[in-house]
Amino acid sequence: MKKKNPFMLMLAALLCLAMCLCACNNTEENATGDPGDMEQTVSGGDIVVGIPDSVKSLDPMGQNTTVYGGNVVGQIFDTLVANNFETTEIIPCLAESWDISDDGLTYTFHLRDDVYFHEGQFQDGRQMVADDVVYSFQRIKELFARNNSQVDNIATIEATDDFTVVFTLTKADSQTLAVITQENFGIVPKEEIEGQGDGFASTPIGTGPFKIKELSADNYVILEKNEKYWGTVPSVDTVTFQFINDNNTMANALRSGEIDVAASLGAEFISLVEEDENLTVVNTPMRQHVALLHMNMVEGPTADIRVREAIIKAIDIDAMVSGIYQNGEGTRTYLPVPKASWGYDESLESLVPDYDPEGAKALLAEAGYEDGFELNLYISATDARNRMAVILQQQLKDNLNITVNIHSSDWAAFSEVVTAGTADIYGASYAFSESGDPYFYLNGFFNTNSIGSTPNGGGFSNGEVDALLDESTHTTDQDQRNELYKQIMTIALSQYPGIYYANENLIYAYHNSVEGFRINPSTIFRMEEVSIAQ
Amino acid sequence: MAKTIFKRLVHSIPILFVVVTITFFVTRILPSDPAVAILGAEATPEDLAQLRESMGFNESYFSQYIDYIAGLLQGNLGHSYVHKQPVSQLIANVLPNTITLAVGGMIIAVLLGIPLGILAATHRNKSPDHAVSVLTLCGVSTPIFWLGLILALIFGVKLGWLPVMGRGSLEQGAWDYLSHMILPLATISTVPLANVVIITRSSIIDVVNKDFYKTLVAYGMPKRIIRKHMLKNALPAIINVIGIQLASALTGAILTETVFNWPGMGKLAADAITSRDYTLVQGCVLFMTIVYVIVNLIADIIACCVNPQSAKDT
Repeated sequence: MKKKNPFMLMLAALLCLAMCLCACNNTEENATGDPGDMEQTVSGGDIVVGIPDSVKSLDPMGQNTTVYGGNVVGQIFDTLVANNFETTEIIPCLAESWDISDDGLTYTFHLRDDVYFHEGQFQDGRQMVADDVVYSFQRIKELFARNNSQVDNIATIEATDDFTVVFTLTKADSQTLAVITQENFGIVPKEEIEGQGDGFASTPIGTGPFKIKELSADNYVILEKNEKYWGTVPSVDTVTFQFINDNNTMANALRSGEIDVAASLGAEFISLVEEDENLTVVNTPMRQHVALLHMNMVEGPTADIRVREAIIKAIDIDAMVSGIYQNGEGTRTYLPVPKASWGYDESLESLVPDYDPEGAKALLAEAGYEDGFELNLYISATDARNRMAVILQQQLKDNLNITVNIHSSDWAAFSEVVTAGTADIYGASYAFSESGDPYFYLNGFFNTNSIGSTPNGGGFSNGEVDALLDESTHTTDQDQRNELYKQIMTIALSQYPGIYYANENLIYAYHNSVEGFRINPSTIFRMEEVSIAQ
Repeated sequence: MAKTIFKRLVHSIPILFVVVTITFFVTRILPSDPAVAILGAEATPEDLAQLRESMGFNESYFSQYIDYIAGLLQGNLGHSYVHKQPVSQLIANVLPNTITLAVGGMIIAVLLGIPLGILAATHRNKSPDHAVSVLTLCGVSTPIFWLGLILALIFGVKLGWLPVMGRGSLEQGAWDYLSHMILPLATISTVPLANVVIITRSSIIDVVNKDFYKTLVAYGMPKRIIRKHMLKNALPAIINVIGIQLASALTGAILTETVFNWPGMGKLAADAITSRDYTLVQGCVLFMTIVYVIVNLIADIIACCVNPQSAKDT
């Protein structure tokens, strides 16, 4: 390019400015939007839901099942038992009742006799019977990659008559029912699986409230209501799940009316969407999620319990949490189970020491580190974790003269160090998908057997805790189990393994024309309860 | 001519081979475990080990590589383990969408770019030239991700005129189809447009300074004939740039498709990378390389046809 004329440069700058003003100065238009466009989305009871995952396979056993992909699968298939939407208590679904033998080894499921598959290429919507359950579970045992121990533990599955199925377990396991509520355990018809082969992933056939209309890979999936559903027949005619990976695009699509529901909303858009009177934002800590910091209990300075206690006392956790979640997308917590779990008992919160920098200094001096030391902190590089690391670094420097070296990397590199047990301190967050059962969290964080996986990267090991965890798997009564989990948390927290500082919120939004859209703490939503104003 | 084409085709074989090899090993050297990507952070070590075994990730890289090359030679791009479909099928599904976007963007760039370039060149150092220069400067230096978001915000959210995501369908009418295309096309055409303007302007100025052109003007030839000679001599360079820009529009498609949730190759590749779908990543990269090579070859051939003189330069 050649020499520039200053006048033209000024003109260009003015143009840019004008563009920006254009962008910020049009709120009135925004409130009305384009009426033509709005009507198109709501008429005829069609609803469009934006979800942040791409759904690649609609086979319940598709191994890429993500949180939101699982929700789509969950609309098409039913499981034997389900979770109560609010309380995560186990409730009947395809099995209208079940008996568990006294030794906890035999589960007898009594199936409903009014359940029919969707019509497909290889069957014409026949009745679902016990053989289908047997077939589905044999397929699951063959293909399932998660919770192997729980699935392997189901030794035999037999149909004793058309509507009775008997499971025999190798050892008693109170998590069995919780595990089989996951959408992967949906009941499938043998003819379609064998007839369609890989095609089943895009034209699945189940018994659920919605049936497949169209899957456009990496784009959207359209479901239509199953008129013959045995439960609540959906109110809307079709549901389109539009896959939108980008937070900006999701917020724009909601604000422009192209989607009716954003099943996940970036925290930075909360206030923007709240401003729009046609939209409702839900921002709630009721989500199965634990964000934590764990310290190395085996080697390094933090192997000394006094050092661990000192570090916990030196962190102003409230200030840290409000610094990390500046849009209010995270809530302070105390315990190693999610706030929404039935195992979260507020009376145990006092076990976590208060912020006390002076006490922390004294403890550290007692342990022989009055001049501080260096710690290597490992985190997987998410925004929330990066902010946490910097705040921690500063607090520990100011209060204890501990120098924190931050190692922020992607999950795989992070996981390599943490599973080897060589991280001095690490930050991560977990959302186990199996309902709100505290077992999955406590077993992951504190069982000696979990050493070698990231949830127990600090090397927590305590014989008493192991025994209590084992006992809880043999106990089916929820109150008794709750008592055991309280004991486990009491013992574990007295060892100062780390802090369980926050519960990242569940944030979603929808147009006011949508009624009945809710996401529960396990990030599950049920479209049959949703209706849309015409 | 045929010899040149043959030579170029032979040259592209080692290029493709090197690209395949680099992509194969780079995806595997990255510290990312597809088993973790599939099962998530909560998976136990045994679950991960079992999945790796069942998916053949435990075999040596070399034997995986030999298998992959053997498949390629038979025209088999492999099977995506995330989608459970052949890679060629997945690419074929979304390819038309990306072609629409990339070719549409290029058409806009050429139709607007060449006239603007000529305008700037023929009014050198006058206000039309300055105005065009400022606009091209903005075009070249605007990040297209940012531009896409701003356009979506203004025309989709604030004004509510245009949809901000997805691809329309003809079943819902021509407007639905076209309206979904406007913002992505505007975004993807910006950089190629600016480049076409710049190269048109400079190559025409180049021609205008040549002796033969001055002679034509001096002889007082009719304007029509002068313009014909001017364009004929300037076109080869412009066509070459169009070829390169079309290829870069394919790269720009990754960002544009992400911003506008446009189901094309770019989004497919980006998703494949995040879900560690090795075979699909390899397939996409290989495919884009082939397109790049072919498009440039075609551009060369057209340039040769327009002005055989230019063949000697290359």
